[in-house]
Amino acid sequence: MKRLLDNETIRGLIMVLFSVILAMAVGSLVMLINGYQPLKVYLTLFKGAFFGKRNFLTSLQRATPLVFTSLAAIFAFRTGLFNLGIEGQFLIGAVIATFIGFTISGLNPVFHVLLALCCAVAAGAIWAFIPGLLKVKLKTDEVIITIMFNYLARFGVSYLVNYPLRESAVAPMTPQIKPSAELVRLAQGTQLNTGFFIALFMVLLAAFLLSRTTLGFGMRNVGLAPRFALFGGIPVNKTILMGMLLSGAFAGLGGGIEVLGVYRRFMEDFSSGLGFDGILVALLAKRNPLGALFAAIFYGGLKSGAMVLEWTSDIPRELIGTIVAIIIFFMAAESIFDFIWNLGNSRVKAVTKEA
Amino acid sequence: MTPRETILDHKNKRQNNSAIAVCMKNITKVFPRVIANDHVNLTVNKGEILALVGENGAGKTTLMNILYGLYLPDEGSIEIKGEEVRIDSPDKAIRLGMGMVHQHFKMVPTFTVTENITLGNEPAWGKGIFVDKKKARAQVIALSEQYGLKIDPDQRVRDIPVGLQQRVEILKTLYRKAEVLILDEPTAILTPQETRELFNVIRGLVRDGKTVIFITHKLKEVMEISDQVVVMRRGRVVYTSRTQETTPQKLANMMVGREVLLQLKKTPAKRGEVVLAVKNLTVLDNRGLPAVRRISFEVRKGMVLGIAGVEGNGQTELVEAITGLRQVESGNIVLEGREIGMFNPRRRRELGMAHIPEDRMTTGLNMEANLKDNAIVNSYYKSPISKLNILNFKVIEKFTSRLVKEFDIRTPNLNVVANTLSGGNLQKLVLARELAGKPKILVASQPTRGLDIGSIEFVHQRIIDARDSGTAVLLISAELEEILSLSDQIVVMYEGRIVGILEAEEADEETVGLMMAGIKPDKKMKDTSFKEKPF
Repeated sequence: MKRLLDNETIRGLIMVLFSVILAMAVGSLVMLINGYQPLKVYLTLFKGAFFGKRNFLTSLQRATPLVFTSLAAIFAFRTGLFNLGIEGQFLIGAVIATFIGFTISGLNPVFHVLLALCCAVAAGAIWAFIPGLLKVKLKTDEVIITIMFNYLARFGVSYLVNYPLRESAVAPMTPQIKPSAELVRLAQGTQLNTGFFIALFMVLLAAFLLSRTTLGFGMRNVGLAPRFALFGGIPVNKTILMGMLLSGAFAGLGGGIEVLGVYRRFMEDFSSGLGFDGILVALLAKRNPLGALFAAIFYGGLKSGAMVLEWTSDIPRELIGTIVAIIIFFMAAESIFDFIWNLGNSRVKAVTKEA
Repeated sequence: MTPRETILDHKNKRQNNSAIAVCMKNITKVFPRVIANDHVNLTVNKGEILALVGENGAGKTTLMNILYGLYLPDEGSIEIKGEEVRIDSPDKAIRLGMGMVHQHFKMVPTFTVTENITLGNEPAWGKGIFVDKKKARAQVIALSEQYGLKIDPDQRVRDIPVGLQQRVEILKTLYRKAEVLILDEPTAILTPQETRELFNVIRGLVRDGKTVIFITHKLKEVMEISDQVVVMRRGRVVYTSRTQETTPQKLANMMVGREVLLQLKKTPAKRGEVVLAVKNLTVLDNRGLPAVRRISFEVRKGMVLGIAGVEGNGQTELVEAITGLRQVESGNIVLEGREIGMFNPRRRRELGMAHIPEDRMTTGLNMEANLKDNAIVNSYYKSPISKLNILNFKVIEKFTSRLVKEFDIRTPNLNVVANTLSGGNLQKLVLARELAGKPKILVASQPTRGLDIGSIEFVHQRIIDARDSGTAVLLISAELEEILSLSDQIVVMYEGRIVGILEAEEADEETVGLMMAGIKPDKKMKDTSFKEKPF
């Protein structure tokens, strides 16, 4: 039995290795067809992501919002919910934090930041709570409602930035937040800020909530076995509402931190896709908060590496995007390798049998 | 059977004995972490009924799946009619004359009987691609007459009772010219009367020269129907005998690997006050139609009230309504004088209700979670399991290992995911958790479904122990034997209604079996029992 367990671990490692190699192979093919040298491109990409202080810190900065959105996705997934509205909750959180950031002045920086972030959390949570309530009370599908809520958020925010809150005549954006609301940047030349430490803390908090509290216990049972949860006396509806609420809270917090730390004002379309990327990161991390931290850094790294590649080479950005997508695809599509692995295994058995 | 037939029968048998239908030699099949078949040898004589018995996980089904081409063995060979063959697909198996009736029927419910029987082998219209429906229907009728298996070829499968559905499955194999029929636990879903009918069908098939492999764990049936019996345990054949040369006790001991009690030890019940009363209860099924119709009964402290009935006669909905998993349409559910029909499951549990659900895979357990999570689902929010909403891992660990020890749950450790344990151990875990709070009423629905003899013995004993310590037990089971051996009083349900209520002493298989088919007992019975309990 021990031997077989070892086999499991070996299998996991082979799987990761295999998916990376395969991703690179397919990516190389794409590059060769287009007349680029794969080895050089990969080297630049990964150097751009993780080598050198500046590159590495930029990767962390890019990872920060993804940590929040992936935690948001994890809380929903664990409760068996598909919150596809993280994008919208993130935007709502961001716009509220900005508003608090530029309207109030003369506050102690700690309080100002705290106030802005608390409002962001509350806004995101409410924005997610409504679809949750509709699901529990009216049995509507949260997938559809949260997607629709994304549109509401996007266009609502767009209106705010274009009209009542617009400052610049050139571009749709709000005034800058007051210095007292800014999250401190950690090093010159990067946008990495103290928000990253909040992200680290939230990862730990999420892990604790999910594994050690009665709430987390309820969530994972409602998520994995809803009938069992009901049968055992877990308040299923309350747990679903809490799942949505927490998911939205993490998303809103992420939005707040992104504006207070990086952009310092709300610009239209500054975040596009961070919510959906978060779902992807959560899946890469197998719905584990600690895993999400690493997956977010990996994903953020690839993105910032791609930027470096774009500046330093003549490869069109579309091709770079394709290569990054291929890598992510192979990392996420583990079931494909499961299938291939099993196929190989049974073939080996068949051969030994015939021999 | 007339004496002449019997003589003919014996003659046939003697002739057939010379031929061997199937011979499996040294079959070994290894799955990750388990050896399902360990050098198994099995010889099936042509024209005989071979009973293949063993506990769950003994390897019976794996062996049959190998014979039917669903798995390739890692080692060993198969001979059919003396010729070595390689069966690498069910298709090949069918061509070699194998036919299998699975435990869960493989049919299209919305298709007619004819369509299901001919599916995949339809007679073509001319040489074209269209099905000749007339011919198909005629073929099915001819086949059913040839083997005396009466069916209506035009009815939809979903509209006919299970007994007949099974007949369609058998006809399906015969349509494909099966010589050897493998029946996987065919009686699990039948009433005693339907079982008897099935046995007549099997005997008829054998008379026509077919060979039957009959998988079961019911020893009474083995003794009744088979010519030869093979017992498997932990992937090996541990015992082979002519049926008339063995006894049920011997078979039971071989199956389990130790001495087992076939008869439950039980003292008369000491009935106390009423704990649970159900009054004029009506419950709707998922389609919104009444599944339970104005049912009333009472369960008293210290007794087992058994609800007998063929599955699908409203028992599931009744249990769900009592335990709070389904809404009550009308009527009352009263626990110790308090109406609980509107309470959620947690409230009911807090008032002293415990529940062993019929489906332990989706309801009774979270198969993806470890044993500890499963052990505390009904107590996770209470001190000392958690304090201030924070789980106390140490207490949980202690609590779970206590349950594991007290109920003899075989597990490598407490952190394994539930779906790695066997059915018997899983049910023990459910039982341990539900009985841990010393419930006032235990609602046990199909508590031994799919379990092996050893586990059944254990579960039954624990239920009786709970009864003797003062718990009121409501037992719902489709296994008549279980109802008869555990209950102090028996309610028989048919189509959502109560056909009758019997005291244990006046209930026997024949009477209850008839009531399960909806036939009320004769006048004499009524006079003794039905006056006291009007319904």
